[in-house]
Amino acid sequence: MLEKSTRKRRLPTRAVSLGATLAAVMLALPAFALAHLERPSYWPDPGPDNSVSPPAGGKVPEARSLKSAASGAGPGDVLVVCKGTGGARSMALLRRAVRQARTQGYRLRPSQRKVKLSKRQARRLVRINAALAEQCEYRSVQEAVFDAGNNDRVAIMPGRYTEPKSRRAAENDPRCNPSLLQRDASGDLTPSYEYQVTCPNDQNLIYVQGRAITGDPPEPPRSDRRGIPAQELGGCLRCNLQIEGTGPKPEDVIMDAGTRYRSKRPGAKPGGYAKDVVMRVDRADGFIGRNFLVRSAKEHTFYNEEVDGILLDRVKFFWGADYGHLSFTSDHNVVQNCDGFGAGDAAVYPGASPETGSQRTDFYPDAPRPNTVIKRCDLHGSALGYSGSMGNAVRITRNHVYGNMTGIASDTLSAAGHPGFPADSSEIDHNFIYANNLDLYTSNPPVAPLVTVPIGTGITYAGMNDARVHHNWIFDNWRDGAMLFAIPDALTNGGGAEGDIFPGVSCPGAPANGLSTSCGNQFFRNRVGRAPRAFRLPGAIGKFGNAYTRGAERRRPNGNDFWWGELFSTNTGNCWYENTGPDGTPASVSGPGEAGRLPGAPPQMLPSNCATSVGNDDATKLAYLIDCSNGPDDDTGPTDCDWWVRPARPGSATARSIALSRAGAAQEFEESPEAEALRERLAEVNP
Amino acid sequence: MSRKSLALLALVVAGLAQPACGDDGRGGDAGRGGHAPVDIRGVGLVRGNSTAQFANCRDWRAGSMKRRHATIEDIRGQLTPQSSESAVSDLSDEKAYRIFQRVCASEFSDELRLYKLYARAQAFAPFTTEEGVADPVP
Repeated sequence: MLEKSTRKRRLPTRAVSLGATLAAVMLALPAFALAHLERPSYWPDPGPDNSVSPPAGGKVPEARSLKSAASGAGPGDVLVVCKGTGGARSMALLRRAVRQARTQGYRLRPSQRKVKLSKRQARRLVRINAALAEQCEYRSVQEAVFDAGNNDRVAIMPGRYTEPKSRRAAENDPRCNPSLLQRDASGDLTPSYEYQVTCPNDQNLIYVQGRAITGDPPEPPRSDRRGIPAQELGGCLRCNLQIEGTGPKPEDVIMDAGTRYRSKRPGAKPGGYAKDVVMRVDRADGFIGRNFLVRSAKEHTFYNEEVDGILLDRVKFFWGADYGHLSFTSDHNVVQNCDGFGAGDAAVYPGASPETGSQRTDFYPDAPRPNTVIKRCDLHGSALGYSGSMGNAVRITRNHVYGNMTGIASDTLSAAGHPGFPADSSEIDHNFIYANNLDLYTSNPPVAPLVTVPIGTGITYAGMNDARVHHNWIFDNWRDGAMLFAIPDALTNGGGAEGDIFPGVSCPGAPANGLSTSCGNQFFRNRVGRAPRAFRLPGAIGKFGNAYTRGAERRRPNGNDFWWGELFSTNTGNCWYENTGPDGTPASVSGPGEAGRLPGAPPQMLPSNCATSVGNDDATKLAYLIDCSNGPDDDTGPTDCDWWVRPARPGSATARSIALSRAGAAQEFEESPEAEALRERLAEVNP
Repeated sequence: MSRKSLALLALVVAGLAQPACGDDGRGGDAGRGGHAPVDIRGVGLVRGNSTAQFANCRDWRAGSMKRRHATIEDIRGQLTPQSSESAVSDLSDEKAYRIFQRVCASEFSDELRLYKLYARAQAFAPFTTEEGVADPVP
């Protein structure tokens, strides 16, 4: 049974009172992952669509081999895109790339060792490309996609594809704007699915329409976001489509919406953007993207929405002004072997992911399960490496996350249009999360930040339930290794969740009591403040002036290992156990932070018993967060927010001095009338 | 903590003690439904008849007062939950204006997206005094 939809309304007195007391917490949320504005979106039916053969969706699709593209084996047609007459230009680029990969090798992502093609592999790749060149009929990826159907493949031979025809397409095309804008309940307009289909290159360099249009979307949108409304969901047109580059490495095929580059390097920064999105995949179930670079967009370099079944493998996302990768309301979603940098928000962002975790319903008969997996990626050189609002049941595993202002953030604070309240069941495991000390809050930053986040932070959960953070290496983040704090319901999205709230919210009394987040999160068996033995820093660690600890020493402390808001006694079940610190023992783990009653000096004082853990209404942290909420200013007092500047190197004399000063100020504040007033309010609503 | 911060904290605490939603004493008539007049466009790039997606601090600084107000009205509408029947926000347009003025004064703020700033401020709005939000920086 579903809870009644939460709609924009005046809040009941109780909720207001709770929200009022907790308001300051909201102030701690510097737009962590405020996502984007989009049409009302729905989670696709998670079952396979048997109208096509093989069925589309229902699982993560399996990529077909490049060799089979050349041989024509398997279902569907192969549409080849190339450069030059008969693919001559692509073949020349291919031969050069193969020669380099054969002799010098290449890194799939910066943290990995170089790989070299064997002589046999090199010959085979040339042979396959030569066969594909003979089939080449397209100079434009978009034109090939337009001609593609279900089960087809688009093979893109080496080259840079700028898609001149797409670039010339009008923005705000009068064929679509305003007639195909979709109206939400209050009358605000967003481009509909039909808008994207009818004017595919209005916003997108390359648009992949997955399904036909059968009718108009429901106005207002349904509160139950499970299943795309049948009235607007047509049959498969491009399900099980595979788009892949045919070079030895992703950078050999570049789909590019940038302008005015200063160099020809794949990582070159654009001077401008021709389109909002490089590649948008819309309702195209069973999609596979492999072995290419999408570069430079005013918004996102890759964007998929309402897709069931999508695999991105060996894909790179460079210079998305907002997000590198953005997936939205998509299921059976895997991004692997990826590399992203240059994002003003996050390099990778899976948002509004389906309720396959704590709040699962029979719509997902095989839940609980992760619906999205981000694995073996390098996420770096951005405001955030990863973020995700309503990032339900997303697994982040075996990645390297470094050189961002904040490494990973997931939250229950979002712009309108993000169903899935509250976020739950995130899993972060077996990652390397280090040296996220990038300072972009300067004049003329190398990457323009679109958001305000705390510099020097590894992980931030701003309103999350039932997360598991385990078996990670978290080190050299000069502020905090991981932060956790609650977001009162009344403070999310202007007081209203988007769409239905499903049963399974894990905080006691929620959602009725207005405190639905920050319960049941476990941090365990992480190694903090210490690098692995013989750890090799990636060459990109210092990109854009990021600060990090050099040398071979394994000890690389975080400013503080675990920071817990510990604001409300309804925050239950949060626990930290079997983590080890810089000296390899649990005793050297620091927490919960420097602003509270328990300064961040080891031994850690965080609760390890998940069954008994409750928040302790810490007024000093609340005050600290209030100040942070005001955004950047010139105040540098010992209890003022310090998120906007890079922290001093942990262990340095400066860092020790600041820590002492802040701890003293925190204790002093604890005895102040302001702290007492806050405590009284907290006690009033948390008796 | 600076005097400014202490003063703000006091205001926040005071704000917490006040009735929030439904309180008519917050002043201002903004944030109460309606949409940007069609003849006044918000600041920044237009997409789908709206500038909410792209408007940033650079655009804000370059915009006229009327266009800035139109921007706020636009963003308010876009940030209303999609199933809500009215574009109501607890953040008054006047408060939003002053918040944007303050944040957009920082030297790195050029590309900061206004709607991302607004979403945070909107959530805080029901619980503060007009002065507490409006004047965090003298």
